[in-house]
Amino acid sequence: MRHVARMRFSDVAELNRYALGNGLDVLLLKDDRAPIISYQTWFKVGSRDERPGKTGLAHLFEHLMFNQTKNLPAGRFDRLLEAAGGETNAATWVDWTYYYENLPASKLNLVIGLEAERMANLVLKEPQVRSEKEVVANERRYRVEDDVQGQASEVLYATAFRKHPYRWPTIGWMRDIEGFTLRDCRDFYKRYYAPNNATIVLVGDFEPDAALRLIEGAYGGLRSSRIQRPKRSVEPAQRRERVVSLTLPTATEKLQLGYRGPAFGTYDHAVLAVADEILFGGRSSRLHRALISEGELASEADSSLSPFRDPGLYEIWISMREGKRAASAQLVLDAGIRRLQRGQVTSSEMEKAKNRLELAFLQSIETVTGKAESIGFYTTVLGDPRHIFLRMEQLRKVDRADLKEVAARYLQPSQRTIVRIYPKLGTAHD
Amino acid sequence: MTKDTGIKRFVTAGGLVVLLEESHDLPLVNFECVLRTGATLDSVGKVGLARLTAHMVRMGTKQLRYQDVDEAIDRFGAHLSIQVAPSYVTFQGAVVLRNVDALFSLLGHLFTAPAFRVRDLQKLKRETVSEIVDMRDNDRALAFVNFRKSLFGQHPYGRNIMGTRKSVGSISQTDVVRHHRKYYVASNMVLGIAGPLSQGHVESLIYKCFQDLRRGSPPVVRMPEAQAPSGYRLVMVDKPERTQSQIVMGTLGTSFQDADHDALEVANAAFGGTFTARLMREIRSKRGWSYGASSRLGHDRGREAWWMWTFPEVQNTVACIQLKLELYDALMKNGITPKEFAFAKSYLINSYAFECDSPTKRIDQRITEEVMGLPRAYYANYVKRIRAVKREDANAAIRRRLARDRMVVTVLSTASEIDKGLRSLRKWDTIRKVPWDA
Repeated sequence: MRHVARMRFSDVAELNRYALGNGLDVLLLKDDRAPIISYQTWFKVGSRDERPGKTGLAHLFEHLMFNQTKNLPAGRFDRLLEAAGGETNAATWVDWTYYYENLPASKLNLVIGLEAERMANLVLKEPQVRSEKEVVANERRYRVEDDVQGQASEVLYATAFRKHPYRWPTIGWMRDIEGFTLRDCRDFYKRYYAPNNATIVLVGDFEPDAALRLIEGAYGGLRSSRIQRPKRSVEPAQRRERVVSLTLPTATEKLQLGYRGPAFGTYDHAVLAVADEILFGGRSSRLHRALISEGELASEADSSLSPFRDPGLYEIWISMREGKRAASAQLVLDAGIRRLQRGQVTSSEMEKAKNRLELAFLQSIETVTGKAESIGFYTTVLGDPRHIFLRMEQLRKVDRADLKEVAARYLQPSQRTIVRIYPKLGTAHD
Repeated sequence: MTKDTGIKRFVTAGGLVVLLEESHDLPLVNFECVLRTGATLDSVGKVGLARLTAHMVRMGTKQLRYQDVDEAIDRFGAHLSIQVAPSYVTFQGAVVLRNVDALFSLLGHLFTAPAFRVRDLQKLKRETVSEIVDMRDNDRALAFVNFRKSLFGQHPYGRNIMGTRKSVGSISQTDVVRHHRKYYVASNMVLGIAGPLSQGHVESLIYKCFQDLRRGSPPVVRMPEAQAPSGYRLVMVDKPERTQSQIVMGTLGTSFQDADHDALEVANAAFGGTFTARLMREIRSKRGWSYGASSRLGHDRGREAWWMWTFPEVQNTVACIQLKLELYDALMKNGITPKEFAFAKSYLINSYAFECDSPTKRIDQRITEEVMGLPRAYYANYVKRIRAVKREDANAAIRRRLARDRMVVTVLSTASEIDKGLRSLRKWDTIRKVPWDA
């Protein structure tokens, strides 16, 4: 095990990075305020590594990985962890997949053994694949088919992107989920589930030397993989506004917008994050006031900036009040953005945005799990956990001129996609 | 001030209980102010009053409009949210350390001198109605609201905390002022703080900001005993174009105060409280019918609900309900097995570390003890109590608490797809169909 880097994480804690000969990346942060640990395994594989017709495969693995392995019968993995008082789950998005276990500190040995086992020895057979496909189809019905916002978000990305893999949903198209074969799964596992494609993050109450010995013992013998990713597609610039309309069983009109945004990690992304705070952050923000508290047009107005390795979207979701038209919300939104583009930002707005982002940053690293997630995410997406703190520095640096310039560059109607949702006539009672 | 497991507790002259855990990890302060009031105290025609009153508190004082309050909270790098539960109301938030004094000063003004302007109340009422309408998009929430309504009937636990369009419309400024006068008194509040603050700092903050809290005794509230309706009752919440059904079914469970509450907790963990429990194994692992399958035991001052939740594809709805009824019958008849029992205990004992792994969680537990009238160290003794539970206790709790013949089954789905199958599934004592946008 080679020590690669050391960085200060807080006044009392330092983060250490190590590398195993087979390419496994290991990050350790000791935090002994409670007798617990968070153990996370981040794989550099997400829905961007899929191809049309096989969408949702990365997410399917989030399910399959909890099944049988060479040395553990089906169900044993979860049962051992739960008996130990642990919580385990996983998440997948466009650029990554990660698995986590939160456990009492005394169970470190157990979790290291289990994670190493499933990284190398997952057993993929027809019955497990069939059953998990069914579970994932049900998950999709829950999150997309029967959810207004879930449907809108899927249509938004499918319309905004034409070449890049961000155009398909991470959970996959239903027909693709139904069509996965055992061979698809075996190939995917062989290619992406290997030590040289993974980062282990351990945060909590443990002895670093003992933890390193355990990790080396469990993973040292695993073989690295030759990872050939699909050829990257570059999304061409969007030059015209794209509009899609849906009619759904819902009581009120809705509006989902997506402006083509910058890649995560760039300075533009940090600037747009500050702009987003000015527009939608908190109850005193421009658009919360104009749409909800003072304007009384909408009941909900949310936004998010996609934290993707490649340029993603700046998403906006507005749910109208009864009888209010989505078109009126769009006019309000456009006016709020135009003021940003003209450089009309007050000192108070700037102060609020930065203080709120600082609060969010502190909250994100408050718990052992939060710290591990931040370390794993920044390492996997940007290659270095130092970006946790560099990001905060970028946010502090943003000034009015940056906001004006970035708003003018990204928040143009020609670069946005709009999904308008109308209540289906006859489905709502008056 | 007494020290107890790292948490300091003191009571102000007016009776406000303050709990503090000093934590110097980050320049961040978390706080929670909980009042012993809630939706169960709303009178029959004014459901939603506790919630509206809580939200009116943050609408400003004579000197500050709601816009000023929102502006200040955002400028401080703070967050303040309000949650209203059946038996309590929580003002919960966080603030960056350098602005903690300013934020507490604002909170003090809001609690002690709210303006309760009529125009703000009208605005909040319109906002509440729009939230009630929005809930129609949330299938899960709609299923749960209808389940509780059917299970608890006229009991306050059966209410939708937000109220209805009609009940919200009937709430006046006088109602809000009266509710506030009655319940927002120092001795009815518990304030918990976790962060890098010394005892001296907190004491002076509380003295400065909360000394004007009204004094006096809040009314003693007696909760009526809940009664589950007899027989098997089916409620279909009819929503068009559903691809899956949200199924919530259950009966009454226990209250915090019941002697067999812990035993039933162990039984529930074995049956449906974990990812590998019996319910999940049968419905998701073996059959792949539902993404989630769980059972839960409600916790409150009075006897709460026990329920199972699944969401299968529409075509598996009837079979899934049938299986759940069979599993329930088997649970009532045979209880949990020795292996399941040992596993559930191990899980609850070992996972307790995560119930108290941060200052905020520890403070929250202490607040619950104070607000729910639980014995001091109720949570500190949790593991000891679970260890003491025997399998006979768990199975006796199942038989005593979970009624075999009092079951409410609520299904949100497209009724035309499941109506026939459900009607022929068993003999139902009542069948009710509710439109999704009722």
